[in-house]
Amino acid sequence: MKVGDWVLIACALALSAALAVWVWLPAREDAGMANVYVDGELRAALPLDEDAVFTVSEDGAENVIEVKGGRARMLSANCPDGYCVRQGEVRYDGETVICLPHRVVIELSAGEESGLDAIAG
Amino acid sequence: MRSQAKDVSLCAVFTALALIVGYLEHMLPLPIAAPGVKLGLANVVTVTAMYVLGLRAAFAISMARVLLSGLLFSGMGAMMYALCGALASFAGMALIKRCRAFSIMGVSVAGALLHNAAQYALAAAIARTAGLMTYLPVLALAASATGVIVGYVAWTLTRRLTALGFAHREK
Repeated sequence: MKVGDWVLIACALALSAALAVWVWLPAREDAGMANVYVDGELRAALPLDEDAVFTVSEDGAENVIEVKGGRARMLSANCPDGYCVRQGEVRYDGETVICLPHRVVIELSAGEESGLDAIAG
Repeated sequence: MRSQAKDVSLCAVFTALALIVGYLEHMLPLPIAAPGVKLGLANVVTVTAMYVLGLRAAFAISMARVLLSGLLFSGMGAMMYALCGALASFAGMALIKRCRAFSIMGVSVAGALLHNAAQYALAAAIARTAGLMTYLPVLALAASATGVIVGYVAWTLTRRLTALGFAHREK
């Protein structure tokens, strides 16, 4: 082990710590809305106070998003790795559940009051 | 006494080894279910190859492994990420290796960090979301840890292989 190695490892650890603080420290607010994006395009905005199930089905790629009890999660997906389903529930503003192979993202936002109950397109 | 045939055979052995190790890794359950967190044991082969066979051979081995692994096991989609990670990682490792302040350990850690960073960047770009950020601290930490482990194994391998006469002079 040389000097440079230690410096590198120290920097990597410092970076991890800094990132951890930056990502996890800010006060977390319960989110109001679960936004479902496919390939960056908003497909549905589901208010978290209303239980719902939303399915994305595209070229054989299927993802089922569930909103229940103020939380959102990927109920099921037919992607090869299934990480998205394993991610579990999200409830705070800014949290996400991502299915990488299918490019489906559930992103929680604070959600404003709007005249619409839900947007699905 | 080194011959060309010996070199080629060694490259082949390394490639096969990297391929198998990369595949077996997937069977090991890891406590962290974040996408992209893995032991990166195949990197042991790449790093060792860099010191025993030279940069060019190591690069060839790395690329061959990614290609074969994608064709045989993981599919084209996942291969994209692996390729991205492997290229970034190799470039960084090659640079670090030249710098005398770093040993094989540093090279390995740098490789692991860059591999994860590149895969993260690609994933964020493809999924078009910054939401992946929650994984960054985990990725950085995992890369540091696996980098050290892989570095140690690669160091041991390099020492043994060199002692056995397999290494060649680096330009």
